[in-house]
Amino acid sequence: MDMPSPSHRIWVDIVTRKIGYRLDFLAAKVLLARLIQSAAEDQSAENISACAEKLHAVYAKNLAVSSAQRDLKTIFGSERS
Amino acid sequence: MNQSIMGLAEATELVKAGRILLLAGDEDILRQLPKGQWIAGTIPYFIAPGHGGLAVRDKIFVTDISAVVESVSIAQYDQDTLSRVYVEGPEHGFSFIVMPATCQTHLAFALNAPSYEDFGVRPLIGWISGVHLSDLGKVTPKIFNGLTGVALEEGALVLQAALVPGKVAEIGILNLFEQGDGDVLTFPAGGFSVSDVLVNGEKRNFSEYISENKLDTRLPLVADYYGVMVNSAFQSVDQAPGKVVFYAPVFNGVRYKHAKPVEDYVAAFNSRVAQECQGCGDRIIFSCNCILNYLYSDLEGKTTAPFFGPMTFGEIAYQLLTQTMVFLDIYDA
Repeated sequence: MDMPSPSHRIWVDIVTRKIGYRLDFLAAKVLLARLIQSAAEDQSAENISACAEKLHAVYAKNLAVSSAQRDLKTIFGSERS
Repeated sequence: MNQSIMGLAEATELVKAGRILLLAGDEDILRQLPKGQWIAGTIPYFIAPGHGGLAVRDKIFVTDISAVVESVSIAQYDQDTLSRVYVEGPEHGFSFIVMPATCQTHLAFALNAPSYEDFGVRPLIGWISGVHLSDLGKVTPKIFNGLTGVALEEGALVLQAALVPGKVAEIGILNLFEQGDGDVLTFPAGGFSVSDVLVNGEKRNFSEYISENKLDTRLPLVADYYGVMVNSAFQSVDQAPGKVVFYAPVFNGVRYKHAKPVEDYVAAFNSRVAQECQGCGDRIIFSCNCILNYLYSDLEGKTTAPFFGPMTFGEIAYQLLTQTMVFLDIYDA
């Protein structure tokens, strides 16, 4: 699966709530709730980048998980997943 | 069927046959098992195939994962080393954790797991061991490392399971509780025990608020974690010192609401299973549900098929949960 890199803008947009999705992957949802809170409390570029990297990592390490695959389709569209 | 409840002799045969087992039972019966590839926690409450909900001390609930697991190791952690639990999980597999209720490692995990390195990156599922309710305060919950035969009342044991090629592990939860329509509750200081609450932003004493509003404390507080409903179940409400104690901590910065009532747990459960898990029964390798659901929803003699397992003092799906069923789904990649 061709997944965009951690530096792709969309990961930052998700953790800063500029864009929201209805997601299925349990680990990502629980983590994302924490990351959104962290990104709101500490809006430094370093922290937001770190949050984006953590969200990317949870998907990158779980590409075989059905719900993660569905989420990536939701986030990036079927042509990229 | 990879899950069943059985007597000591039958469980001993499985251990001696080299099966890889996740076990739950009363301390006395677990102590009689031979060494082998098993991990266990103490609890005498189960929902078992063919029985439904039951409390029994002379049986062991056995989950045999041999068919889907290529190899296992068992790691022991304490409150200081548990932060490595996600990092040290198998690359292709899952980690299965058991911890005794109220030990320091349990409390540390409850408060800190979401900040551990690589949280969520590898699957972590498990449960908090307990005791028969008539033994509360007299007997401590235990966990057992089958490889060594050692029983612990402090720490965590993690069975790190590498899956056979072509299989994928996915953790799910089934929580029947949803946020009610009441006040938004936030906590200036999180933890297992709180005094103050912000009710729609206004500071109040939480025990007084509960009393004044006649909150049914059998219903948990519920937080919305990006669509995942996460409960904090009430343990006690003490008017005198003004303390409210939870079975799972509340966190600063998280918005909670008191749960809507669930009128008929089994009917609601079956409805959710039909909606979200049709046909998944054969893939469910392990599940556990909360002792509070067993008690408050009177599950003795009732079934929650296709989900069977121990009734626990806390459930773990990446992080500590309460009043929630968690399950491990193994399927073909």
